[in-house]
Amino acid sequence: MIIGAVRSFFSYVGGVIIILTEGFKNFHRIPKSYRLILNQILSMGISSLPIVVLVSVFAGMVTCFQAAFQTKAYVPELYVGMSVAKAVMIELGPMLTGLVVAGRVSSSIAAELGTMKVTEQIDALEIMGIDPGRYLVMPRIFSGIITLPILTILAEIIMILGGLFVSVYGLDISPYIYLRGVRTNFIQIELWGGLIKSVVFGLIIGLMGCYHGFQSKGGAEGVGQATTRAVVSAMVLILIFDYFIARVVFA
Amino acid sequence: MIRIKGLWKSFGDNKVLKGVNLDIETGETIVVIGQSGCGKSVLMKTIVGLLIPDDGEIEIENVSLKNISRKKLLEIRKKIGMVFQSSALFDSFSVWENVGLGLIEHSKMSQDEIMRIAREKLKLVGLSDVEDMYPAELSGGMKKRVGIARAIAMNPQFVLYDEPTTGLDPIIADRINNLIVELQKELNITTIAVTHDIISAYKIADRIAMLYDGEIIFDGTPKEVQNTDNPYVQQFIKGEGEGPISGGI
Repeated sequence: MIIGAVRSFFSYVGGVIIILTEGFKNFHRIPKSYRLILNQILSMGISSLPIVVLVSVFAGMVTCFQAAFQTKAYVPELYVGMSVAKAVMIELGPMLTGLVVAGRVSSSIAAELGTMKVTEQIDALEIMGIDPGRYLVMPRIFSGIITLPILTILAEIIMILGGLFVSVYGLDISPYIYLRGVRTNFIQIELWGGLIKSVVFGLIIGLMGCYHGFQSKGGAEGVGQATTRAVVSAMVLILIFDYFIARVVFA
Repeated sequence: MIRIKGLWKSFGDNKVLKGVNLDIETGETIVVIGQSGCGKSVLMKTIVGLLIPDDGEIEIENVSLKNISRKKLLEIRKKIGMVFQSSALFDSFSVWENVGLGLIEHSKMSQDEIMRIAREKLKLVGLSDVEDMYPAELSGGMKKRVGIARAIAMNPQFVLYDEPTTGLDPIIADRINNLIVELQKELNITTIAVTHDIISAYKIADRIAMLYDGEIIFDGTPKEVQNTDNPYVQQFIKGEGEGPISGGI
């Protein structure tokens, strides 16, 4: 049993590396494939936008509320804005956006490619002399890398504004104090560290969608399983990498 | 020509092809017949390099696919068109984009020109006014025709048909058979089809090969097939449940 588990672990890692290489080795053809990439960026970005906005508003509001609640009477009001900004930039922005987009986008990539796989559309591409690595994998991975940081920046702004809303209307902190708090003790690496995370999360989302899509077997059931696996594995990997990137960037 | 030499392919413990030998001459139409699940589609996919054989060799126009680089394989495939059993049309693309995708990707033609060619090929397979429709809006027979138009869009030297008439009613199936014959004459392409539809095989084939138990057990003209005393072939073409062929369901 242990041997079986080890073998399936390595075949998983090997399969993921193959798909990753398929994506990266075609990066030099990005200019020629700009239209495919643009389509992906638009569909990923626009389809995720409403849910990212919604999640961010409430995440920002609750962060602000909790920051104020936990430190009430101990810490000056100025630090409410600061805690929100730091929590959002370091952790909440990239992480929540990553998880939400993983649920939205990894699944749709896996379902799309999985259906293409089981209905022989990927074979059809091969026969037409079109490399699925270039045509399907690369645009999805690259778009993930581009789209996630953009969505993350947007999410961070919305979270901070959500916090502003709560602090003004719920906590009676003036907007001036809150916003001054946001700027207090700002350290650039915290912003960049969060954005580096989001780049890696974008890669994970595209990669897991592609890998599990290509692994689909059988029919509708196989595609359904691939979709679930894509989402679960993307989310787990995002949480794991979140920790390790934090250890490297904020060491 | 395409030369298949001693081809072996297995999936796990299941040996599907056990030393298939077959030569396909330029310009001829060869039909490989055999039971469902006997490895016809595997043979087809191995010929075009979608599956890698365990042993043996495929040569297309004297180029061996053994250890060929991926780039060269993709180049060779531009000479080949394939019609899939399920048609395998790209469902996010319109009909003309399906037919023209090879040209969109491999040529520098303008969109108008590609559309014109796509329309021309669609006309060749008997379809008009469908170019802006999507595959989901087409009937089974129409999908098959679009699949054929896509396969011939890049003017290939070889066209492979995987079960061209499966899932179609007898009338549409016959029209597809006629189309395959007409295209072969008109475009002078080498045609390979695999099917278990014996009527279709008689209609389109110059030569029929029968695949049984992983090997080609018979190879001859339709007339020779009808007159052979090979009991396996006789059982298959007559569609008899009792006989030397066992297995299947």
